Amino acid sequence: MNLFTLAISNLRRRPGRSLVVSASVGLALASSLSLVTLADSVGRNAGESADERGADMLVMSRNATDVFSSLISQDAGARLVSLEGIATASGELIMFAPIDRDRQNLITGWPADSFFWRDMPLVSGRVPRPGERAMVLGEGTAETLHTKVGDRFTIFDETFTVVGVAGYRSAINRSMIFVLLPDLQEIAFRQGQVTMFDLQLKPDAAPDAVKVAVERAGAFTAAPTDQMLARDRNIQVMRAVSRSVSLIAMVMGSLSVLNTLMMAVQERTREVGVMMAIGWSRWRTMSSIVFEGLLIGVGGCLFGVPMSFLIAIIFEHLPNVEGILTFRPTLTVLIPTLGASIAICAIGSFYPAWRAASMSPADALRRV
Amino acid sequence: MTQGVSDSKGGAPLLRLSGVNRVFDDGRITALRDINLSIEPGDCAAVLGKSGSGKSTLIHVMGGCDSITSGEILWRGEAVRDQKTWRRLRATEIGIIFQEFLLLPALTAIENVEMALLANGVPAAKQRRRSTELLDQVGLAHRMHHLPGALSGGERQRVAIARSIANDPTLLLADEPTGNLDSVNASLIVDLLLEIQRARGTALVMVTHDESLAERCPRRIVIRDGSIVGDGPTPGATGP
Repeated sequence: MNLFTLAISNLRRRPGRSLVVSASVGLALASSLSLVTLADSVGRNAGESADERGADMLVMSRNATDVFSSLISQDAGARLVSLEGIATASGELIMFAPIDRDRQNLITGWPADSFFWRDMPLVSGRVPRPGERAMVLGEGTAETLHTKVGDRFTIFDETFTVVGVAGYRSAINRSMIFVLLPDLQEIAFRQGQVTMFDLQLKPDAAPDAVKVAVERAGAFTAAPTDQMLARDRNIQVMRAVSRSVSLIAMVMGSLSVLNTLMMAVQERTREVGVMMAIGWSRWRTMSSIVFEGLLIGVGGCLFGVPMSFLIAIIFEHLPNVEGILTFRPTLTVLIPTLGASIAICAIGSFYPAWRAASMSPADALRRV
Repeated sequence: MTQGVSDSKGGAPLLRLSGVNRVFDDGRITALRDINLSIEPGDCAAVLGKSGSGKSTLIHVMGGCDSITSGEILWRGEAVRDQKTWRRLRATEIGIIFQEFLLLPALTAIENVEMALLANGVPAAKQRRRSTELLDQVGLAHRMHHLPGALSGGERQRVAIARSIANDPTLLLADEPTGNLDSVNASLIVDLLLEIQRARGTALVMVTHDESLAERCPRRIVIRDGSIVGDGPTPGATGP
C-alpha cells in the first residue's frame, strides 16, 4: 500500500460519500465555469462578429472612445484604398436605433458594393438592391421578432421591407439588422459619415505596415478586429463587469468547495487519530488526506466540466439570452479554472487535515 | 536506537513514569495523580481499576497518545517530551490495542495491518508479505480481504493485534482489549496476547476490569481515582 492506493481504497469503498463530495465540488466548479465563460464571451463575441464578416482590419476615428462615438467622412475611403496593401475599404455606419415594437436594435449600414453583401451567408431571400428601402435580418433577430422575408419593419419611423435573413454564427451578427449605407445615413441624419472602415488587405500585405500607413494618412486608428475592439470603452466596461461577476463566482465556488472538503475531512478526525496512534507522522497523515482531496478534485472536474457545457447549452437557448451571447468554454477558461479547483481541493483538505493532525491522538480519537 | 531517545541507559527500565499528573477541564478533573511506574523489558502487567479510575488515560499517556500535565516519562532512561518522538516510538517500539478496535472501516483486514508498516515506509511488497504472515499468526488468513464491517468483534480485535505487532514493538499497550467481546472471545484474545508476549519477549501492559483475565498476568497494577494503589505480583498468577 502507498498513499495513492490508500486514497483510492478510501474513495472506492465509500462510493456514496465519494460521489456526493465529488458532485458537490463538480457543481461548484460548473457554476463558476459557466459564469467565467459568460464573462469571457462578452468580449469574444464582439471580435468574432467583425472577423466573421471577412474584415482584416478596422479603421476608426483616432479620438473615439468606443465604436459608437467614431465618425469619419465617407470620402476617406478613397484615400484609404489608395494606400499600399489595402485591397478594399468598406465604410460602415453602426448604431442602436428604435425599431418596431418599442425595441432598440443594433443596425449597420453598408454601401451597396461592399464585400460584406457579397460574402453574406444568406439562409433565405437576397441582399437589398440599390434604391430600395430593404433590410436583411440576422437569424437571431428574425427568430426573436418572428419575422420572415416579405414582412415590413420601421427604423426611425421609416418603413423597410425584409428581403433576406443572414445565417451568421456569431451572436452579435445574429442579432443585427443590415441595411444599405445611404438609407441609414439618411434616416439617422448622418449623410456622408461612417463609423468605421472595414479593410480587406492584399494577400502579401504586412498588417503592421498597413496600420502605420493608415494612421499617417489621417486622424485614424487602425488595428486588427480583435485588438480594435479590445480598446473599445463599452467593451472594456462590459469586460470589467463580467470579470467582477466571474471573480465573485470563483470566490463563491471556492468557498463551496472548501466547505465541502472541510466537512468531509473533519468527519474523519477519528481516523486521523488512529493513524497517529499507530505511528504515522504528521506529514504522512496530512499527505494521505490531501491526496484524497486532490482525487476528489479530479472527480469534481470530471463531473463539473460536462455539467458546465450542459449549462452553456441551456443558457444559449434561454429566451432573453439567445442571439445575444454565445457560451463556448475555451481552453484559456478551462485550464485556469480546473487548476484553481484542484488547488482549492488540496487547500480544502489540507486545513482540516492539519488541524486534526495537530491534535494529540487521544483528542482526535475522542471526536465522534 | 530510535531517533529522539537514546539507547537504554544501564539498567534503565523500558518505560518509566515519574510523578505524572494529567488533569482535564482546567484542573477540574484529575485523571492521573502522581503516577510513578516502571515497565521492564518482557514485563507482563494487568492494570486493574473501576470505570473512570484513569486506566485508559494511563495507557494513552504511556503510549504518548495523550499529553501529561506535569511529571516526566522516560523511554529507556531518556525523557520523551515531543510528539514527533512519540510518533517515532509508536511506529517502531510501542504497539497499542484499543477496546473499540479502531480499524479503518474502508480498508480490508490486510490493508489495516499494512497501515502500520506504511508508517515506517516499508515497501508495498514487503508490507503485503509481512501482513499476510501476521494475519496467519492470529488465525485470520482466510479473512484478510474482508472489510472490518464483515468481521466479528473477536476477528476485528485480532486484526488490531496483528496491526499492533507489525513493527515488532518492545512494548504492547492494550486498553481493555476484551471489553467489547464475549467471554469466549475475550479468553482467546488474552491467550493470543500472552502468547505474543511470551514468544517475542514483548512487554505487555493490559488494562482490564476482569479479575480472571488479570490473574493471567504475573504483575498487577491497581489504579483508583487516578492514583496507583497497588503494584506487585499477582497472587496465584496462571500465566504467562
